[in-house]
Formats: sequence, C-alpha cells, structure tokens
Amino acid sequence: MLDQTKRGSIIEIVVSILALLILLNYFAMLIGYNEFVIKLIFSLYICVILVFFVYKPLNFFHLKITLIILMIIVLGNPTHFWDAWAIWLFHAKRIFFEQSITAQLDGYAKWSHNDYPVIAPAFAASLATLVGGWNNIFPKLAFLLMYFPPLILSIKIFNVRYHLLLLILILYILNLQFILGLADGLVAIYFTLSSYLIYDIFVNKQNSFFCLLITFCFLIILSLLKNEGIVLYVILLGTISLINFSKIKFLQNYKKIIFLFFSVIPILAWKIICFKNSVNSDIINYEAINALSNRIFDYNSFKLIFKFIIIDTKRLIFSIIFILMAFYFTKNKKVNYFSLSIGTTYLFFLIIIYLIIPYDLSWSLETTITRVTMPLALSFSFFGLLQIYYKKEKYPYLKK
Amino acid sequence: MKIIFQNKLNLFLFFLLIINLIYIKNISYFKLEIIKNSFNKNWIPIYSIYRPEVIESKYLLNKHRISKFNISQKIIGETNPDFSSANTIKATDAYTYLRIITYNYPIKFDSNSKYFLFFKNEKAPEECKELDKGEHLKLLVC
Repeated sequence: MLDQTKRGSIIEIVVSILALLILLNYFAMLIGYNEFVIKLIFSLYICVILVFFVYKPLNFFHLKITLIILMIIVLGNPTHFWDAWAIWLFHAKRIFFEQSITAQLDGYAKWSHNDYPVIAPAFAASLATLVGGWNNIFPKLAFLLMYFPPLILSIKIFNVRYHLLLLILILYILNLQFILGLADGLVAIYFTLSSYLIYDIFVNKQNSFFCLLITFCFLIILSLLKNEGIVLYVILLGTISLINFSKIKFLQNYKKIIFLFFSVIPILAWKIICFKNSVNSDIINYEAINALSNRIFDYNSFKLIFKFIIIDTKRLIFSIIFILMAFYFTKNKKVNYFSLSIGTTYLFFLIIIYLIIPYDLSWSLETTITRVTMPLALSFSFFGLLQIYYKKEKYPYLKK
Repeated sequence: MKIIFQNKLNLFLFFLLIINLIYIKNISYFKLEIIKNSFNKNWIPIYSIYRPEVIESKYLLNKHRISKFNISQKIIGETNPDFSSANTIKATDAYTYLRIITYNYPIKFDSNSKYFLFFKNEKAPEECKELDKGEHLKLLVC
C-alpha cells in the first residue's frame, strides 16, 4: 500500500498526462490534421488509462468498475438525443471527414451551432481516426473518456468511503449525461474539479506544481467545451482575482495567477477564428441588448425563470439543501462561502442569458434548464461532501 | 478492493453505486445488438434513427453515387420558422430534414443540386425525372 503523499503524487502525474494529451490532441489538430500524430496521441491516452487501470496500489476498484460499466452502457446505446446527433457528433463527423478542426466554420448547416468550441468533437474525431472509420455509436465513447481525468483526480481528494459517496452523487446528478454524447456533463465535472483546485491552490495554499498544471489544463478544457463553459471559466478567473486582490496576496501569488490567466488564449483564438469566418453565436450578438431591454422590466419573465429553476431542477434543489445542511453541521465557512459565491454568480449570469435569449423563453427554459444548472448541482454536492469530509476526517487544512 | 469488502458501510455504498449504474442502464435504450455493432462501420443505426425515410435516403444517394443532393419543400418543412413562439417551435417538425443532412454527411445538402429527394407520395414537378424510389422516398433529377 502506498503512503498518502506518494499516492497523491502519482494521481496528479497521471491526471496531468491525460489532460495534457486531450489538449495536445486539440492543438495538433489545430496545426494540421496529421493522422499519424492523432493516432499516436489517442493511443497514448488509452495506454495511460490502461496502465492506471492495472496499477493496483492506488486502490480505486469502485471507480474502475464504474468506468468499465459506463463504457459498456455507452457502446450499447443509440445516438438518439437531438443535441448529440445534430451538434456534437455532427461536428465530430465533420472534423473527421474534412480532416480539419475548423470544418464547421464553412457556413454549412448553420443550425448546428457552428460557433461552439470543438475540443470534445475533436476528441471524438480522433477516436474515429484511430478506429479508421465512422459509425453513429462509438464516437460517444470519446466523450466518456474525457471524464476520466477529473474522475481520477477525485480519488486523490477523498478516502474510499467518501469517494464512493461522491460517485453516487455524480451518477445521480449527471445520470444519462455520461452516455448521451453531450458536453453538459463534461462542463459540470470540469467546472467542479477546477473550482476545487482553485480553492486548494489559493485558499488552502497548495503549492504542488502538478496541481497548478492540472488547474491550467482543466481551465482550458472547460473554456473549450461549450459556451456555458466559457461563462464558468470567466467566473473562475474572476474568483482567482477576487481571492487574491481582496487580501492583498497578489504579490505572493502573481506567478500562479499570470500562468492561469494564460489559459484564456485557446478560447480567444477560437472566437477570433469564428469571427474571421463570420460565424456568430445565436444568443450573444448585437440583438442581445434589444432582447434584454425588452425582458428586463417584464415581471413575467423573471417569474417564469424562477418557476422553472424551482420546479424543474430537483437535483439543484437537492444539492442546495445538501450543502446548506453540510454547512449547518460543519460550520466550514471557507468552503461554503467559496462554492456558494461561485454558484450564485453563475446563477446570475444564467438569468441574464435567459433574458437575452432570442427564442421563446418558456420553450428555452423547458429544454435547457436541467442541463445548464447541472454544474451548479454537482459543485454544490461536491463542496457539501468536502465540508463533511474535512470535518469527519479531521483534515489538516482545518487546523490552520 | 479490500477496503470496500472489509467494511460494512463501504460495502453498502458500493452496492448503492452498482444499483445506480444498473438504474442508468435501465433508463437508457441499452441493447446488446448495438454493442455488438458499435464499431461496425457498415451498420445501419436503426435504433438511433427512428424514421425509416432517413435511413432510406442514404441508401438511395449511395446507390447512385450522388455527392450533393437537394430536398423537397415538404421534407424541409417550414423555412425560417419563428422561434420566438413556442407554438411554432413545437409545430415545426424538422427531424427528417435535419437528420437526413447529418446522417448522409459527407454527402452534402446543396440547394443548387439537381438531385432531389421527395416523399414517395409527394407530387413532383413535371420537368423532374424519377431516378429511383424506395418504400418512403423517391430520388428525382430536376
């Protein structure tokens, strides 16, 4: 059995390699679609996962079983969900056949949200390149494989009992997201783990290089997953600034902060490429201000939004109750205030986005609210559990 | 593994986890036939696409080696529907049209193409010549 520090270091190294390989795959495609390089990167990714699976001393049997069962379920499920076939897998298919990561920017099929970032479809296209052909089913597996880095990192944070609890919570909240071929679950898990890492680095004063590297990679991945991911990414960068500026710690941490702020470059580059190709978002555009001014003074719009948030998001309500109960029993203000402030900011942005959405508000809420509130539900549940874990296991950070 | 099986509470949580996974499998559309063909490049995704005309469109286009195709107005449905109204959104059935486009890719939809897909029972313009027909669709050159 490995000691806790060594175990933690091995996990950090493996997660860093996996996250770097996801990014490498994306950047390799951005430079040029070299089949050999793409196959090599994806094979390496699978090899690292296999090595990690057969390496016994890390002690995470339950996670291995979970991931294997999820892989079987993914491969045995049809691709029927609208967003999966019309957006994510269609983008992946386009990248694969056109052999270009910017394939979707040619103006074809404008209804498929061509402005969406493509890190997940690019990963699915890589799997297709490795397999040597396209099929409606297996590319979804690539989406599941992208869950591995944050899930593996989570075994470093908790002991086996609490990790079992965490997995149960993750499965309860993300549910079918693991198998549908969508990016919403990925946004939720990368956001949750990125917030934890930021908390660990800037509040717990964790000084591990790998921790910083993983945070950097996770932030890039989060921003390149989906437009909601960009909003969450901006909130996390804002949180980093706020934590450090508020206590005049900036000079202590300025190297870390500058390093993490460099993670903005890939998403900025993607948006510039979109702009140059005249591919715009259907929500955030010049008409957004008009839509906002129409709805912001309309009491019924707010009533409708809050009605959907309260009635249609049972998992979010559960997670809010859970984190508040955890706070009541543990009185861990640091963790609680950190996660609640991030969550509230996201909720605020979400309301703004619903106010500017150019479609029918009731229909938009009906079709999206459960998915877009998933990052909140997962992060509240995660931080609620973390509070209990710190209290019960007398985690050393509490003594500081 | 030992840590899980030596402790009753851990074991209970492990069973809960497995039940959760079984629940996910049960609420999904899991089928053994899909898993057997999950890497088969020639497999027709009959469980993913629930309208046979979409599957038939690929058969017709591939049979005649067509690289760009056009679609009849009836298949497309309403052009530029008003998405600010929930009733319009619910009434607009774009599934067949959009699914034909995504499923047939890299065969591309092109509004200038002379090869048209029509519903079999749909009346086509007189200047169009029928190339082929299936159970649900017909392929015309106009």
